Amino acid sequence: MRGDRLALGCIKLFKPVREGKCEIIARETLEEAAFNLAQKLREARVL
Amino acid sequence: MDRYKNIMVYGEITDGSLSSITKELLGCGKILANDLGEELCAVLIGNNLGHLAKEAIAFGANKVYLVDHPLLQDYQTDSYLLSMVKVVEQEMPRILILGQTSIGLDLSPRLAFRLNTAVVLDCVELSIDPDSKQLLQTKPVYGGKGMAVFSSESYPQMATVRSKSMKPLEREESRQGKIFNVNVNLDQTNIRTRSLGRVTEKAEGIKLEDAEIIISGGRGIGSADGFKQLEELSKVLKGSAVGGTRPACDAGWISTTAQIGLTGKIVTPKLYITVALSGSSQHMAGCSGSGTIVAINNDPRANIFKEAQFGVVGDWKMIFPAFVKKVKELLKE
Repeated sequence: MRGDRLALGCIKLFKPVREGKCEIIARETLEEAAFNLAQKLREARVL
Repeated sequence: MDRYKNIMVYGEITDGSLSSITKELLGCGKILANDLGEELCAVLIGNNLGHLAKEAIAFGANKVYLVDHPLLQDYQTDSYLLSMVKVVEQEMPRILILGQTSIGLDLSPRLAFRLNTAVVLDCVELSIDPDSKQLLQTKPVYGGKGMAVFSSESYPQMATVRSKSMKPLEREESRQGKIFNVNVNLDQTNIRTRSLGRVTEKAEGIKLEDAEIIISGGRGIGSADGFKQLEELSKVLKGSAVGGTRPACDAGWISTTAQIGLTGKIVTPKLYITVALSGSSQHMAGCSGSGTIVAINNDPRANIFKEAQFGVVGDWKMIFPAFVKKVKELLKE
């Protein structure tokens, strides 16, 4: 069996689009922000 | 082209079972087969592997080709290549897919050369062009900064597929399929190399590829002691593991086996917690398939915040201990 043709072509080149919807947890102190982050992850059921 | 029909998957076997990449390839192959109205075939090569044929059918194969021979006990380039050439030349598949694994990378270019066709390596998406019915092969390029779609006019259209980029089908015992034994004339003269021994890598805890939660550190962690803090959280979270970026591994702060990214492992955990990690495209190429990404970084312009769903901007040394403390409290509840 031999291939019909060996043509291999790049038919599209693109940069993946990122939605960039990051929820920045901001509080008065970094410790509070860390606490809130853990709480958010728990609420989102990923922790 | 009309001579070529069906989708064929090369099935890898690990510790006597179908490997996870094989199940993923069968899941992907089934979608392609349905789109073309053709059948999905699996090739299994090894020794005493009859029981695995039904397993491949349960994961979606319509036909299974078994090449069973004592000389095929372990992967060996010459004997496996001969076996694959025999099966492919006999069955003439339209599409042939293999895993982007050490075996797939060894076998696929040699096989493509023997079959006088082309192979596209490291695909993360495969689909069928609805008009031409050609296979469209999508893969990351330029270190993960871009994506390219390739199409080949030579048959079989060959691709290797990156681990965890495709989803396996649910296992269904009731699926029906046909099993064919393929005889390949093999003897020691076909085999130009021999295995002198086998060394198994020692791995503690959960493998990164299997972890549901990964805590990953970057250059900003600054030391091996810093990674111990990440390990402390990993001990608390069931099913978790610790990973790192290439700079962190190169610095010796964490084992190179824990490296995630373009030149490391590809992971798809449900939760990916990044600490002091900028999110370079090379790193993200290994974790962008994660369910939820969390970023802790002191640079608000870091790329990781474009990839993450939740983030905290600030010094990780201040944030992380408080985060671990709160996680422990929540888990106790």
